[in-house]
Amino acid sequence: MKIRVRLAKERVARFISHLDFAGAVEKAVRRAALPVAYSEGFTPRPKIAFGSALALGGTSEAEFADFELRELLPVAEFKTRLEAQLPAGIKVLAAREVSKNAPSLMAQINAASYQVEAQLTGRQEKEIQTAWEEFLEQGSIIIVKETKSKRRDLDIRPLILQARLRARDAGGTWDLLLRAGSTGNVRPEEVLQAFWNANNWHGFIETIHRTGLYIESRGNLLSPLVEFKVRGEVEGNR
Amino acid sequence: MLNGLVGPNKEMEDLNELSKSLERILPRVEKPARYTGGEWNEVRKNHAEIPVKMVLAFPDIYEVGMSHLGSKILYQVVNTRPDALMERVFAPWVDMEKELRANGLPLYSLETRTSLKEFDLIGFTLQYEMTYTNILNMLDLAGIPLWAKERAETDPLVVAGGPCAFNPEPIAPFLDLVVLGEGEEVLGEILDLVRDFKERGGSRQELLQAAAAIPGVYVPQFYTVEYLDTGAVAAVRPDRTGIPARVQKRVLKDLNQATFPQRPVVPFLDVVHDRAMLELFRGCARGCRFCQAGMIYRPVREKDTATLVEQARRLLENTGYGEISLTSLSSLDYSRIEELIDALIKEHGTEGVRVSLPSLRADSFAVEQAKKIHEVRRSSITFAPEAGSQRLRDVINKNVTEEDLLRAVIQAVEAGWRSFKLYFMVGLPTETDDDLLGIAELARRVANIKPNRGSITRVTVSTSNFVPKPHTPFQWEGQVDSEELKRRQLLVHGQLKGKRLEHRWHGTEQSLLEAVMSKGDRRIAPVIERAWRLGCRLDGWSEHFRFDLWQQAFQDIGVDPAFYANRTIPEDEILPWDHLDPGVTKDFLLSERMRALSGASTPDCSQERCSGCGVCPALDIPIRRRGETK
Ligand code: SF4
Repeated sequence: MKIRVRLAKERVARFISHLDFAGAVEKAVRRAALPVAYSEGFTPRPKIAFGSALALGGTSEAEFADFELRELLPVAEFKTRLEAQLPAGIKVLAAREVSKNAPSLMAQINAASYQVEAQLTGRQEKEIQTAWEEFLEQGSIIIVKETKSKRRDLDIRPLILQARLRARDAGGTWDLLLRAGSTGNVRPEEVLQAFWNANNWHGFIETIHRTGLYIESRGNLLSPLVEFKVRGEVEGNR
Repeated sequence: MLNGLVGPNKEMEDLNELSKSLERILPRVEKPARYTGGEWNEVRKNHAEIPVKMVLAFPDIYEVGMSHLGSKILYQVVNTRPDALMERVFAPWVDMEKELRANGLPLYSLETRTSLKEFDLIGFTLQYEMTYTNILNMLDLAGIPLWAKERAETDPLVVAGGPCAFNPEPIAPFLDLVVLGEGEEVLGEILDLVRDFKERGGSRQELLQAAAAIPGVYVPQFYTVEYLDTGAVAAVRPDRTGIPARVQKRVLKDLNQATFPQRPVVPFLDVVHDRAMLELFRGCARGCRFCQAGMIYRPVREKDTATLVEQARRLLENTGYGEISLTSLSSLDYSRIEELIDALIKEHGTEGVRVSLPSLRADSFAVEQAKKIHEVRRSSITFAPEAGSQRLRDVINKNVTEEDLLRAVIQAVEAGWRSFKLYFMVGLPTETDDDLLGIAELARRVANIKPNRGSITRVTVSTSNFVPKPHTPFQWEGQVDSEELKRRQLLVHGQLKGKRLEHRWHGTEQSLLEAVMSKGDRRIAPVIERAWRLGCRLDGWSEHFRFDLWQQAFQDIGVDPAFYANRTIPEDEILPWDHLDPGVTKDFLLSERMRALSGASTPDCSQERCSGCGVCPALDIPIRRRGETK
């Protein structure tokens, strides 16, 4: 059977990388002696598949993972046993059995929502709010993506699905719904960096918190966990 | 609008002031998890309720320190006591050091983020000499005076232990207490003493004096060192009564009864040895004459197989590791190794748990065992012949023949391994160019093996520089000077060109410094302080090693490194570490030195007969071979 779990990453755990987060969950599974299936081959590994990676430093209430079990186990029992073995800062928020042939999280997830707190020293509430609205009204927002080998331009405007700013003097709170996964991906820090650049400002991101991962289809947002509509149509862009 | 989404879960625990600053700093440093704590099995106690507080300071970065078994043992030993606590701290990487200094923050313990200054004891583990500047840096970051004599009544006691404690003289003036040998019991006695002093009251001097009476404890400031005009040590004498003239090491007699770290902290980061560690025995009596560990950890004491199987079970249950490593000095020498490996595979193999061996000796038996456990033959297999000719291997008492090695390699290739690592040392006593050419010759022979099955894709030869170590038969030897060492390394290098061959070697400048720190006396301390002030730290990391600054430090203080590193010491000269006693007698070391020069080998006393090193009678331990119970 396959169990899909929604995990939270908070406090100290925010400073561990996605890979180390996966390692910590894997060790918890072994300690809990849960009957996970192991891969074949020279180095058998428990079959646990994670959803889209979260950059180091962020907290999250939306880390998803699929666990393949070799025996049937009540979901509630799985949840309690796993929970008891997770280190501080990693929590199980929900768990649900999914079909054995359910598509992988990586294949399904195509949107992510974040709440970001940032500082803009010396700027007034009004000024920030107006600048943000103008920023979004642009037809395209080009950023330069750099990898080890190449640089390429990317238009991130279509990847910003929804955005709302609650500005205040010297900062604000951003709620962002962004495209994620293999069909296009932009990270919240890239969006805000582009915003600072557009205005020649030096902003400082205090916290990034991932609030959700979604399967977006024709304007509907589905949670990977509860396979039904969680919200209405994706409205305008602000 | 995003109203449907849940807001951030701001359920933060009460953060102390330090933690608040860290929240800002940590996102800016590389691998912040090095500095957060909060790992599984971490022990956090309430400081208000615990009388004796100690922090274990590992003078290298987190990934290295968290791989050290000895630290895990002490962590368990101390935290099991209801009246004491132990927390951890590691050397910060340069980025974190800069942040701490720029923000005026002290170095702190991971568990409760307490400034190091608040602890009663700071324990440094001395695993290798190249960490000495890190010790000064950590003390400084903690706001603790570097020199023991300058510390105030309220400053923590700075304690050190580990292999380098058998000649701590170069850093002795920075240390309050030094523990010789296995720390489990001694540390307990020191903690008792500190607790009593805190209850009753008493001065730091009185406490140190009482500590000096504990067997195995060395208090450097109670000894005066006199020097001859030649620069040699004339005498090391206690400066008051009640202080032993020689301090003898402590060992545990029965390892089955010893505390074993069954709940080690499980790091989030991928550390150097990220696996469960099962210690099979202590000591190694193969008697390699260059090896300090082989002398100072004697005698060999094994754990019972039943104990080990039980310990492995608990370790895996408590950590969730997918790998268990059999860690001892030469693990395959364990008397019932086959039985143990079979039992571990049988019990844990189906859960995807692997068994691993850190090192292999070069023989068929080793490969047979490796075949059972190392299912991943894609990784390489390592052998350490150490010297390139049979003559020189006899000199160093490395009892492996070329035949053994070649046979082991053939067997390994046929079993599926394709890549090999061979370890050698350059600059060994009596070495000639022929011995060096022998290294290349042996490597080529390995690379050209034509097995019946399989093939060799790579042979990597690593040549390190011989560093003479205290308490070994080679302690009197001078290291070959840097220029000559470099010539020898290049000679080997020139011969190692060829298909499938690769050569790696150690910097000779780092080895020179290691020799000075190994064999130095107290006159080195100001040099270390000077080097640190000039900016030296993390000297074991080649990207941070600054030989130019070290040279300047030697010059500024007026110390000649060659006197310590390159000089052959006359046998009748007093050695800076003669007052520290690992149980092995000087007579034995001298006779081993003679045997070395005549190429006579000495058998492993844990397999054959006692070779009279003196440890067992000195420590009142019955002379036994491995596996013998009476
Ligand atoms: S006294 Fe004898 S048996 Fe004991 S360690 Fe020394 S050589 Fe080995």
